[in-house]
Amino acid sequence: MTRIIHPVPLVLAVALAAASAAISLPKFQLFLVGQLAMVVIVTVSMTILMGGAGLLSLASAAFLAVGAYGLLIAMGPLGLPLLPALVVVVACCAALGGVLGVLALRISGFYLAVVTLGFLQVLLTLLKHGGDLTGGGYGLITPLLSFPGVKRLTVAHVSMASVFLAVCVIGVGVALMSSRMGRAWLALRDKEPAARMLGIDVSRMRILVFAFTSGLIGLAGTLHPLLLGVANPGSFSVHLSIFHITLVVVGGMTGSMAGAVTAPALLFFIPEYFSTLGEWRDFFYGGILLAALIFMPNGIAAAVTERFPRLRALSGGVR
Amino acid sequence: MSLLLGGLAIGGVYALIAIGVVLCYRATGVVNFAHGELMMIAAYAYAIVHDLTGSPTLEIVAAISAGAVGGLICFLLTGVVMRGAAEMSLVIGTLGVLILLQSGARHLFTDTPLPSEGWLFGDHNLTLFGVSAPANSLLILAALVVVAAAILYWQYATLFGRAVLAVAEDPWRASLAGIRVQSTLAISWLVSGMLAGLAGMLLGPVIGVFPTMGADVLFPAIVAAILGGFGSVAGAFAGGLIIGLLQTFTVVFLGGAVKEAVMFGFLLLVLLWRPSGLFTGPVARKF
Amino acid sequence: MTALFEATNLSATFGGLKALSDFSLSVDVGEIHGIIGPNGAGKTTAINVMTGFLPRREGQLLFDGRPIPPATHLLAARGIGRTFQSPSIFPGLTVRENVMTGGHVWTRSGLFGNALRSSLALTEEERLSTEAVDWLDKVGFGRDPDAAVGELPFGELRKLEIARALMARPRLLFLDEPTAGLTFEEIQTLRNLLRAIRTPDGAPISIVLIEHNVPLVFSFCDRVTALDKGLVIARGEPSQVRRDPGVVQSYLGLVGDSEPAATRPPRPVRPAGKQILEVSRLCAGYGRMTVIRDIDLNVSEGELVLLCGRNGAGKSTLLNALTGFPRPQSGAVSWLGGRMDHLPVSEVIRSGIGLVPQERGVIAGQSVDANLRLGTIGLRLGRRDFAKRREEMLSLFPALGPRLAQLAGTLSGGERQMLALARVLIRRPRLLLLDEPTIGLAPTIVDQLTRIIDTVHRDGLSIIVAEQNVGWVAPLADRAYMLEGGHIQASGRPDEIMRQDQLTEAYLGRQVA
Repeated sequence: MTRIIHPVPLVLAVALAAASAAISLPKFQLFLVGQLAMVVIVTVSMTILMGGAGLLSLASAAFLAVGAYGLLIAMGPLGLPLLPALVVVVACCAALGGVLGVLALRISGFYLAVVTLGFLQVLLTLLKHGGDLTGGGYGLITPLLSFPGVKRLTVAHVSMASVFLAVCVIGVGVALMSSRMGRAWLALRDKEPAARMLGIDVSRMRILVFAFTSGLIGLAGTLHPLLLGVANPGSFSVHLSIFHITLVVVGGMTGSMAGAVTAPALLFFIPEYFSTLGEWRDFFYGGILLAALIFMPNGIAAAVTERFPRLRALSGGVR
Repeated sequence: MSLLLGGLAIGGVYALIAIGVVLCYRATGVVNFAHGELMMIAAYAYAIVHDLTGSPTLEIVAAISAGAVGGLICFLLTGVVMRGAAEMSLVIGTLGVLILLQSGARHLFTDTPLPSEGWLFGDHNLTLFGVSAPANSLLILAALVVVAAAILYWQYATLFGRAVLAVAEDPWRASLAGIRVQSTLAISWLVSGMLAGLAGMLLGPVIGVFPTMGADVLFPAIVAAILGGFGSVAGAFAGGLIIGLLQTFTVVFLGGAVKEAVMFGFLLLVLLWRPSGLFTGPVARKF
Repeated sequence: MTALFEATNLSATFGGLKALSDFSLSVDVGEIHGIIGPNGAGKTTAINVMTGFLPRREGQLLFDGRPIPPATHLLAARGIGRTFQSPSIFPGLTVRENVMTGGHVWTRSGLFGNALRSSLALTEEERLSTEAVDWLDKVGFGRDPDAAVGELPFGELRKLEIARALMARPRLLFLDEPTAGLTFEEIQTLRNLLRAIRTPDGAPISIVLIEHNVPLVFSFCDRVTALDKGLVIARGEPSQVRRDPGVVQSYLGLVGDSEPAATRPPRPVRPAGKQILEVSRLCAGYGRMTVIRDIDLNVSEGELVLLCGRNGAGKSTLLNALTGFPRPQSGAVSWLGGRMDHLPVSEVIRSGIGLVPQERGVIAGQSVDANLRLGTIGLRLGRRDFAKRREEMLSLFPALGPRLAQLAGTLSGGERQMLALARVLIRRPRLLLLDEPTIGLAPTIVDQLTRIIDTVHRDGLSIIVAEQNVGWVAPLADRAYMLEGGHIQASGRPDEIMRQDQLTEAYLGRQVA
């Protein structure tokens, strides 16, 4: 299982390679790939949270929003340069996530889902009525940015950076889930008493996983305004959170990173290809969610490896 | 005074829905996130039949049947197809139904609200205690009381009602008495759906008929149910009224924008103080 | 030498009932200590209090002379481990990964260390992996360590759980019913393993064993503590405890040397009616645990059949499986000529069989009257018919009369049992299954029950009674089966099977020298 070890340089190299390969794509495809990268980061995080630690959260859209707005506000009124702003925003998301984690200790299961939903609603209300700071219902527009060494930060640059980040996050996800931390999360998800008896501090692990994954989702959120040029409240609704949950369900609620990567790829591009699907996209996603729950309870990765057992060696290590 | 009545009216709406959700949970063990959508399809059914026939009886039948069908679909999903699945999976399953129904409605009917002012009592007003209130709102309160009473009667006076409670409390021992657990569950879902249908029909004229009408009121209703301990009709009733009053007073004194924040904050405080809600129902929650 | 582990004055209360009182235990280094006691004696409660799963309101726990913190996850760091009644294997991890989680307590690498694969993380991971495979070898685990746990046979799951517990390097290990569900050979393997295991530095591991398999405990443990009704009734070396009359009585229900059926004049032999229930090669259990194997038994009309055997022998599982929950894993059950083994419970009940389960078959949240009413569901009784039947039940169980409106959950133990029985009898079944009906009841109530059961039996009702304390029912029985280790060990007339010495030997094992 620990055969496929991903030391840091290897991941960075692959990430750079992927990013460079991405340059060769035509502009529109590059833009889509950048968005896909964003979604992959979120899916990896939610897979760790839901599939790994077994915590149902409807707040993923909220952390994306905090990331998006946070970056613009940090760079705008607060005047921070890009990188420090990123760091601050991600840290804030991690802290907020930690708070949710503490809440999760006293409130469990379904109630937690409702509380995270409430968190999302409150945040959206704040954003819609935040006056000039948040741009109200229209949101904020990303200013033109420059970056040392690059005159103007274009969508192409950001897309490449997204791909780079996504590969790094996948690497982190794989590393974590196949490590002592991932095992501890999977243990406390399924058999909490036995986990406790083996010395696993369940409370601490729950807070950690919430903080960490929220930080990562916040990071993905910062890419949003950079790629799309705007941040407005309409993009961060409950439906987005449910979409993320759908992705995890389709990918497999087993903490499998293979699923976390294939699910977004599939679900992201299929509607693009079936453009007639356009309007019925939501309906399509709802149907996929139910179909996945019913027919593929362990997700795509597991369903595939059941059919093709030889692939198990590949995905078995890549949890 | 009118503030109080207004709060109670809204609270009545939430209470009605909360009772439906709690009842469903107590009987089947599943929290139906799609309950709001069942209300919505019932409202649309009413609207369609209203346009087609204008016959009050048929309209009511349509609404309640739509709700019943919705309940049956939920039963088939959670009680048959996904029987025995983990709680998280079942919750997500109801989320799936939510999306299907909501987006389906969106595309069939678009987001524009359907005209619903002519429903039921239209815009007649009744004067009560010197205050004039829309008849439809009062109808909701009246329906709430009737429904709550009817459910309590059903649960405690009829054999089937007792069987439902028995199944909720202890499925194995219930089956040892000869109770058919699956059929009981199916009927419980059906009744829950019918209640949703009734609520949808009553809400139509009050809040309008549009695809997200159910989801909009479901969240406060679920908060109300949680406050009520998710255990009993009485708890849901009280929880609904509390949320209704809380919301009305928030809107008047603090402005409409913060009403969600206040509700969420209130919920959080209550849960931190008493993680099982304000009242404890007779059946222990599974959370 | 101070004891390694010392518990004093532990107690636990559930809803008004004192499940454990003044419990104390002391375990030396390298000692293997057994805890025995009939159902409900408080064994698992005791372990739960000692390992932090139940709040500790009074009393003291010392390990190595120092007090133990109440939080469970801190116990592992001190060197205390535990397994559970049904193996708590993590389904999301492979076999090897399961064992590796045992090493969580002595590894240090954190979130970032593991995310970035620091050298500490990598070295620890390597060590965990090799040591895990080591432990799997030591416990005799015979499968591929990288297999998923889903298809493992039950015996391997138990070994896996022990390997995982040992990986955490405990100095004291609590084992909760480790032999439940294992075959004879597997039990022997486990015995040898437990005797031989040592910590990595060669020190012997102390073991506290909770078991229903009393013969095993007596043959294997250095010292034994016997519990009954929440109190310690005996403690000492196996031979001592086995001789203790209190222990014998707690298991057999016989006082002194009163002989059951054997020496009393046999009942008038009634001509056997036709066979109504036939069970052949029945296997059943919970999840993947098989508790009863290859059970053959039959019941003829009008018979009272006794199913005796010690706790854990499978009596409850057998009766429950007959009614459909748990669904039999294999074998056939024929009732009145038709196959019944795949019917849902409600249909079995509706076809004329009634079961009074061990923990009282009443719906606690409803009134006595409601319970009786519910018992008639599906019979479509009119008001008058129901009233008539209810009257019949009330004449049989007069104690229920004044309590019709009372919530079943608030009844006393004896009243609850009466209600459970009434609820089944109101249906007029043709076969009545009783699972340990006298457990936890006062002698006067036992007498009442005995009379009632005798009455309905004489009226022609066929009955199967599963009992550990056979004293009251042996005189009433027409035939008996002895269940041991999930198999039918003996069958025949009660007096043939149940001489006291035979029973004692079956329950408690041969006398230890």
